[in-house]
Amino acid sequence: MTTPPEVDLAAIRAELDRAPLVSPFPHEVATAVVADLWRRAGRAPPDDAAWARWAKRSPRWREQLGMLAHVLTATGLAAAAVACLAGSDRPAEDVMDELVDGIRPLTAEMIRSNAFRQEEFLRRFVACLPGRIAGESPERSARRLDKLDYRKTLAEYRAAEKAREKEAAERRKAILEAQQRAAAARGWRE
Amino acid sequence: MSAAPVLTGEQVAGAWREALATWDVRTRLSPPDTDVERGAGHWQGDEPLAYIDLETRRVVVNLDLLRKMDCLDSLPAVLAHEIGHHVRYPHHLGLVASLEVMQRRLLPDVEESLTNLFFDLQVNEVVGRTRAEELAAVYRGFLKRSRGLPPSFAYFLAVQEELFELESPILTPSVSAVMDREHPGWRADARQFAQTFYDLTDQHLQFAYFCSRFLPYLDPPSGGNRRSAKALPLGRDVRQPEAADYDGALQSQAAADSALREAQARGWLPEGAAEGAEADDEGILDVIRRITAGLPGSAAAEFRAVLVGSHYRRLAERYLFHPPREPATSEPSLPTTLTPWEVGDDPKAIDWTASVISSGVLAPARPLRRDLEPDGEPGEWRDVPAMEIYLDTSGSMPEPSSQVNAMTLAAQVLAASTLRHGGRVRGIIYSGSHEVSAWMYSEDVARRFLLRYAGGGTNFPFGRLAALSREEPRAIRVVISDSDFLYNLRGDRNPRVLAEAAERSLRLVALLATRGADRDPSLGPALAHPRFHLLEVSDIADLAGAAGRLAAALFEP
Repeated sequence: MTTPPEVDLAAIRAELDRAPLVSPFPHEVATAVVADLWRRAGRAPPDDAAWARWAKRSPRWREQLGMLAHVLTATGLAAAAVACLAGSDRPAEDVMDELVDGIRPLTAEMIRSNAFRQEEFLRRFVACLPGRIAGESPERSARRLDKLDYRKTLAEYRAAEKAREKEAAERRKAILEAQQRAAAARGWRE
Repeated sequence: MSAAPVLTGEQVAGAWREALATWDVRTRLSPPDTDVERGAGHWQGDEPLAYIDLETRRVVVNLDLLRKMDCLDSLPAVLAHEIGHHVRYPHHLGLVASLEVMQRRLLPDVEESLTNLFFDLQVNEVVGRTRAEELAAVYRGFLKRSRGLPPSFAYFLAVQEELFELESPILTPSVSAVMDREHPGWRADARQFAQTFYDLTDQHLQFAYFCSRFLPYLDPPSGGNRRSAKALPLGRDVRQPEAADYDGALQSQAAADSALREAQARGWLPEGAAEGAEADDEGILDVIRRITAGLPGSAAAEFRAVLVGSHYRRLAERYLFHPPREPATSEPSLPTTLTPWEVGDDPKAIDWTASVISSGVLAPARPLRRDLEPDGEPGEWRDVPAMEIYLDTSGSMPEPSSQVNAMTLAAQVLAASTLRHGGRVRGIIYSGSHEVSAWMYSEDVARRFLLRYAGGGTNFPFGRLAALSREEPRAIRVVISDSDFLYNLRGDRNPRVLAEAAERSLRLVALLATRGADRDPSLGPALAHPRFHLLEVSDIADLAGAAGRLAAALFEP
């Protein structure tokens, strides 16, 4: 198995910073932009049924695909992705299946404006191709992606909040009571 | 023979250059002077590790402590941290004041300011992009020297670990174990914090989020119901705002209000927290008290006096009448003496009644004219009014800096009105005893004097009233009190003293928060005098408004 090509993530993110999203990509155009990656790599893109299946599976797929199309057209990620796809025999549907699952909780706004969510989005796409992040060992990339995993962060956070529900309720109560105490301490009114 | 410097000048200069490069800015700050020995007495314990000396505009670093912590190599990061506070976080001290006011409103329970910690998070994110290991070394060094670790510090460091990919963690396993036990899920909380906090662009919203997440990690309330944010390394190096900064923040809280509402909408704050944090007129005095509580004794009193004075000034402005710019002239209304009407005079000026009375049937041949002229000048006292304000500061009213004192506010309104019309004011504040000011010509001076408070019994100084009215008969005198004044008035002499003082005044007004005073027999002699006026206000909240209307009646033509 050949080593996947490297993707310069830092350069892509820098390009993305300079290329603000003006308007969302229409879904059909976004689909075509992504499908072209396989065509340029000399491979068959996913079929129509697969695209329909992914749209049905994930409620955010349309906006996520739009963001992916934006990144591919605004940065050097498309060229890097074509190189990765050309060097791999992984079925197109498998690549996209993994991507759809991996980015499920990410909204377009998160990808656009939150640095961590954007990094997660890009790393997950590269990992699915598959590709390697330039300047990192595979282990380090895996650790970083695990740390950024929003599904995992949300799940842990919600579990923690549930475990601390009592503490959270006390916290909310404490804020309100302190404000009420302060108001009551003023005592004399007009 | 003095000890050799910890670092050479060249080493410090090199670290300084690296620190400046972190922010890519020019600054007028200078690096530490290695030749200046600062003994142990200069540093209070281990903090601050570094700070900016504003007099010399030099960054001062406890190099000896850095050496003991075995992180002299972190000097560029420490310098970059200080530079960051100076050039970016905070951008200006008005923001610090605004956030502190917001904190006091939102978290009245928390004793110390959280703003330094807040700005440390922002500074470290930038410095850590290139110097994360150096910063981590400083915190590790502090941990080794510390006994016990406040949860807020552990949470802060966990956020740093989430931000930076460090070779080894800052927090030790034992600390993590304690936190796992006492604050389950704290790591996930720190991760969520790190991935959300820096995404927020509005500083007030960011601060609201920060407060909501850090609150559970602050020390629990002590007997005084106050939480404490213990000092963290590099945690006391943001400049303290000045009174003018706080005054500006208290005056305009729109940004904070908006952020609190949005924080509540996003679920970061409990329902009702934003509304509960709204600072009305009373609430602002509470915020002032909390802001100044941490300052050393004498500084706190002066700071508080300035802020309270500004607050009363703003309150008084609501009741001040703002006259038109052109001086108003009186309409002619006063009839003059009769003179013979001559051909060419205005026929409308003929007073036929007087003409007939004077000349009978010959009135048409010898008409008399009577003109109207303006009702004289407003009077000499209108040009430069002098006002004496007798202000009741007894315990029946609250201390003005803790609650809005309606009588004090009414006095402020009258004083400001008088002074703005070019007049002068003398204050007589009384309770058990009394205090008389000199004639005051400045609003600031008058405001400060009239904010004084005794809080004792009520004993109106009739003797002083008599003496001052003899000394200055051309003054308007206003007594601001309540039914206690009527109680003081009882006795053989006092009603007469009051009436005689009215005789020796341009006007003597009793502005009383009471009802039915006109039926009090003690007030009879004064009420009979044309220059004495009684203004009663049944709702004490209307005192300031009544004072404003009185001032308008006195000074406006």
